[in-house]
Amino acid sequence: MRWSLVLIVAAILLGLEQAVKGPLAVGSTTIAPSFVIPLVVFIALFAPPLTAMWTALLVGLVVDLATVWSNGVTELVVVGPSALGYLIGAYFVLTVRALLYRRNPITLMAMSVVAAALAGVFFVAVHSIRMMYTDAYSFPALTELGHRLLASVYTGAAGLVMAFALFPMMSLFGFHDPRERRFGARK
Amino acid sequence: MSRRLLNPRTALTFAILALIVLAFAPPRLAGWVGAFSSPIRTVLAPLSRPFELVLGLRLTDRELSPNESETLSLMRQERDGYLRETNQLRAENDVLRRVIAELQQGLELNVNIPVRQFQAPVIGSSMELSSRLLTVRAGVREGVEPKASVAVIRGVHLVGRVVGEPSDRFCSVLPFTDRSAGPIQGVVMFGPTQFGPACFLEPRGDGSLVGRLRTESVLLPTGAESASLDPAGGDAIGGVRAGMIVRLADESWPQSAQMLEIGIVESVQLLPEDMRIRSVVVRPQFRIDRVSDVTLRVPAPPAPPTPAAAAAGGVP
Repeated sequence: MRWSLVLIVAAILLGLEQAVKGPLAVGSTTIAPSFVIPLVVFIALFAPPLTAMWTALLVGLVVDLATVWSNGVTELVVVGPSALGYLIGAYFVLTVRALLYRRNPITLMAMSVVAAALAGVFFVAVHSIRMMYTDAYSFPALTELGHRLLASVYTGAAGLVMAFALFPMMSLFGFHDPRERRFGARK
Repeated sequence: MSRRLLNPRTALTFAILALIVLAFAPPRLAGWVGAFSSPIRTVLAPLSRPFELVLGLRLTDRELSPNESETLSLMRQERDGYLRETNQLRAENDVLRRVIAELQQGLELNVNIPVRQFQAPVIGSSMELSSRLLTVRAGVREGVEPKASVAVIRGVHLVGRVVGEPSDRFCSVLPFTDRSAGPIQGVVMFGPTQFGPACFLEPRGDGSLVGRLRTESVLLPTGAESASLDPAGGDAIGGVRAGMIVRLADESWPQSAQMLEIGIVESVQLLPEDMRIRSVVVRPQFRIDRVSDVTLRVPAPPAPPTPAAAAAGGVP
């Protein structure tokens, strides 16, 4: 896998996510699509397992570091909820990818929904546990859980659109086409 | 041994363990992580800016005042500024009378806090929508101080206040509509300069605030008193109508921020458990989490004493 291209695409998608997540949100809720989760899923579908997991962890880490929480007085950065959540999502895709039609845009959409839901559940779980011993910020867990599960469907829609941009770039990413092994001259 | 430690699989295991520890670490143990946040936000800001500009996602000055000529918009802005000043001066007048009385009893108070205002661009918002913190390109170099600095739009519309420790170039503004910002106290205005009842508002998380109207007259931080009777002589909370302006009157906010506009009354509701109690839903006039620029009001350094004042003070 070409790390340089992954970094460039991830940087563009992180910028896009930061810019459009708020305006694309449903009303004033947190129901908004993620553009980096479909990328993580795309990489988990085609890249070697270890590479896919590192990518998920690093992308999630950037999201965690770019999120600042506050209680009105102090600022707080919590690293881990998104990084580990994306990792769980990527791990799920790695586990089931052998059963999937990987080059189908619907696959990227469906896996984005599942990965975003898993990441969302983990995110809410971590912050809910933190709320038991810290009041550094406010986090309404039940509302957040509902919003994040709905947001995962929205992320699936973003994944479907992104599939048409990402799949033609597959050779540029340096992934091996899954069909090669089936018809190739492997001995 | 070293080869085994540098193995990507082992490194991934260590990274996961470290992240699990950090995810649950209390703020005082994981506070140092915040040092890495600023560079990441600095890198992400120019990456998101082109998308915002191309897609027209941020509310610009023009969009904040639609269908208005520039002159009319300026005049309206000027009027709002004068109204705020009038209210503050009126309140200060009241407080000065009180100060005189207190000084006569040997107390000292300093109510005239000078402020400096300047425009600063909003360069980013939080990646997760659960936190609506805005990153503003103005920091310690511009004199931004945490808690004492507030952000406004169009001169008088409150956005939020600076939280955390500002860096040299950036600071974080927490919108007052964010759930984490906590409750805020305000006063409903019956007229441009006529105080109505006070209210205690809580952010609902959807951009609006909700809270109970105070039935009794309350001493506001500016020194004035909120009304307990409406202009017609009836109960003050009965006189509150949708569309009325609510201004900030909260001791936990800087003195210079008092009487800034919180929003307008969206609806007045009677509480079923007690018909005498009414609650109001207040909404800011603008989507404050989507503004492209804010005006920061920071404490100004005290002016050097004039020669006459210095002479009057005496030199030992």
